Amino acid sequence: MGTLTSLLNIASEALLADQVALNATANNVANQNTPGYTDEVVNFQSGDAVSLSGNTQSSGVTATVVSQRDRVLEQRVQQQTQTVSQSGALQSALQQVENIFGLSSTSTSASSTTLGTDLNSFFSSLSALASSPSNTTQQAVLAAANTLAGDFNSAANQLSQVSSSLNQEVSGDVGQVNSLTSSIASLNGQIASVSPNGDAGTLEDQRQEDLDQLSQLVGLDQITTSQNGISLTTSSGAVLVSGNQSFAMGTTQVGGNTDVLAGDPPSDVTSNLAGGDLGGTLQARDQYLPAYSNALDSLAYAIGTQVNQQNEQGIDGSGNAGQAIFTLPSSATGAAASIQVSATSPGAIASASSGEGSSGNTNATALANLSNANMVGSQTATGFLASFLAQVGSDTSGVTTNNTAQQAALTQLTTQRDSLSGVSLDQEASNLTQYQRSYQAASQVFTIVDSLMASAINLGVETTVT
Amino acid sequence: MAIDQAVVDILDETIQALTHFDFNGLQALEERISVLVKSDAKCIGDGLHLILAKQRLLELLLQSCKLNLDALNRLHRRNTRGQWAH
Repeated sequence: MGTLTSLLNIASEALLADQVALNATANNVANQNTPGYTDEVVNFQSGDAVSLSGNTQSSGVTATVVSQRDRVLEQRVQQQTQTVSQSGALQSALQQVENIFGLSSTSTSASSTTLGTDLNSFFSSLSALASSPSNTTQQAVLAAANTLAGDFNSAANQLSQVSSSLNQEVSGDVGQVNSLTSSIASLNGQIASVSPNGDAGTLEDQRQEDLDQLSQLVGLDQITTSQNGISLTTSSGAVLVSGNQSFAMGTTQVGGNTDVLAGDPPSDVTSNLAGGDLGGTLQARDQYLPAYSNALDSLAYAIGTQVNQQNEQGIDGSGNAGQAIFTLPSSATGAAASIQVSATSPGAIASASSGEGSSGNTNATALANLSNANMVGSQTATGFLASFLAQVGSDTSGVTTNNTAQQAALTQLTTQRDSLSGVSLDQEASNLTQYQRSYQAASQVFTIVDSLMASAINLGVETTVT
Repeated sequence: MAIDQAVVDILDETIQALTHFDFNGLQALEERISVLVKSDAKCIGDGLHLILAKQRLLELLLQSCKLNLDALNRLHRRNTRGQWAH
């Protein structure tokens, strides 16, 4: 039996432990709407039993508060956040490209776009010239050529503007990344001094909140280090945070683009960055936009070059050898942005061939026939434009689908994290069973749709999810 | 066309229900599409593109879901082992 003093000590510890538990509960209630806050639970632990004068007595109870977080789950949420942000940034950029060409999620037809309509009008004007060579039809060809060149200039300039705005986004993202990595490094330092071996509660919540925001900006690898710290690197391995030190990202101008510097010493990591808004922005700027610009340049250059060559083989309205109608650069690069109509007078359109007089139409017919010629590789100009616009539509649609799926997966993960942190193992098992059964039921719907289509229209190939 | 729209709607609702792990809703959807199959309904051309797009979306979500469920099961097993170890 213990002494009265020891009994009072035990009672006092019990009261203190209860107070800790009440504080934790109050904290949980007060912070239920605080972003990034993790529920705290109280662990009660009996003190070691003490043997005194042959009697064993308890030395009371102590309470410790720990946050219910699971680092593995948190990291999966972060990784998924990076994926969603990347696909979101890419989707946003590609939708801007769709808008440039007047495409939408429901219409990717070339004939419905300004460029498609004006390309058809140009070839139609050449057909009209071939049918009836005159000053009026020559004037119509010149006007259509001017409109078409203007469309190419406009589309190329707008693509360039999208690229510029993506460059600005890169700079903005880098600034935000630096602010967050600096904060995380500072929190690492505080956590190391306050709680090097255990949960640091609110400080860890703040660090987690910063990590969540950072995940929206850039792909990260996270390493847990000593003293409850974390080190961060980009997905390509450039260090961003190590202990209480942060390593700022920088930017540099390379070939008109804003590239990203990171690591110690800083090096250009642009081509290796993935994940987050920065990853998606760079993917759009460095992979998709150049391909679209090149395609547009190829089309403008092919049309300009071959129309020029054909016009130069004819005789103009003054009886002289025809001249180039379009002004072009020496190669396809930049052709869409710079193509211009050099001819100023309708008579510069060479309708006739040599020897048939200026009223002939042989060369005009050859010009009109260019509409059916393979001008760009093995494709006609209109065929190439249709393929190009279909590609833009398909890219955007694919990225949109991917983004929607990734967002749904993030919602799932957040649900799972919230339900699996801070509940009993029995409840975890119950939740997992429910998730598993939901997955199986959805798989079943997928499979039935698969078989429904396969049997109904004899697709021949069934897609399956394993 | 009506059947195509019905399949698209079911796929949309399945994606929503799976996103929030609504098991009861998913069971009801499974029954709805089973009824469609039994009625010998056929998908015809116009809506096929949309059905394939929605099915692709569901497929991507199922793939992510499977990946995450595997990770969660591993975590749960680890935690359970931890409990027995004490």
